[in-house]
Amino acid sequence: MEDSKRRMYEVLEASHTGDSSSKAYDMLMTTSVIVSLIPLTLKTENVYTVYIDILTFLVLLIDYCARLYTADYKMGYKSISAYIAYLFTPLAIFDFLSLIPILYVIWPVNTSLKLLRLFRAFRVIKLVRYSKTMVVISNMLRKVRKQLGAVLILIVIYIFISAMLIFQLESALFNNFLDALYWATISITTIGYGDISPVTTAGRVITMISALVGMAVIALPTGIISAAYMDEIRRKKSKYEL
Amino acid sequence: MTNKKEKETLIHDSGLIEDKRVQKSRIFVALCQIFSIILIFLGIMAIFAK
Repeated sequence: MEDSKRRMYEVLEASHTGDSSSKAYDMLMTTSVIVSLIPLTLKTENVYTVYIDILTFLVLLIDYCARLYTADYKMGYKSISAYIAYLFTPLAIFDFLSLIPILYVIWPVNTSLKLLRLFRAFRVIKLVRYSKTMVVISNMLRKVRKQLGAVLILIVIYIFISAMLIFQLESALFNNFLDALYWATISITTIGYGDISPVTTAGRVITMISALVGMAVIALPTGIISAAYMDEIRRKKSKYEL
Repeated sequence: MTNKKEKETLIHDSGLIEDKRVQKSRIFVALCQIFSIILIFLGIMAIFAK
């Protein structure tokens, strides 16, 4: 029994050289994820998208259950708490969220339940397991998550302050505060659609300051991620050289 | 190739038999490949369906 469980775990994890079962499984999972995203690229559903939803749901459900069954090997210790701890790991949460779109196939009502279909996008995250590069990137992001979190909070605070200022100065331009938040986000990221443009002098001054400060603030995450990525590559390189 | 064949065969009183694990592995690989092909076919039909 334990041998079968261990073998199941080896097949579920990313394949090593010579393991044809694991390689075939990785190919099936990659194909399922990519094909399951096709309905998101179509304007209307058809009978084939329904079949895709059902088949990919079955594949993903079997994968989720198998991973849960072998969670003690994944977590490295044999205990009920290993299974519970696995359920709350990021990849397990994304695996669970990627199963949700089937609810819309079962109950195709024309309400906000339709938004559940968008959870298909979470399936892309499953591909992280099967790509060595994505594993390097996810390890790197995990190491700098505190710094990235701090910068994200700074960006959010700045967007709110800009939005509040412009909302007061150019109240005629905005229907509600959400519009002001939208304007602040588009300005700070230097996208500048131009659909909402300030007309008063004070509003334009705020816009100029927002754009200049925004350039510096938006560049921070890029710098943090680049430095962390270079560190990770250097670390791997020195490990091989030793 | 010969060495791989030798590893997969076991000596039994009734003669040479193939390791059951290898048989199961082949069935599993075939099933995975069939499902992958079915999914790709459905994907192509979904894109080109009217």
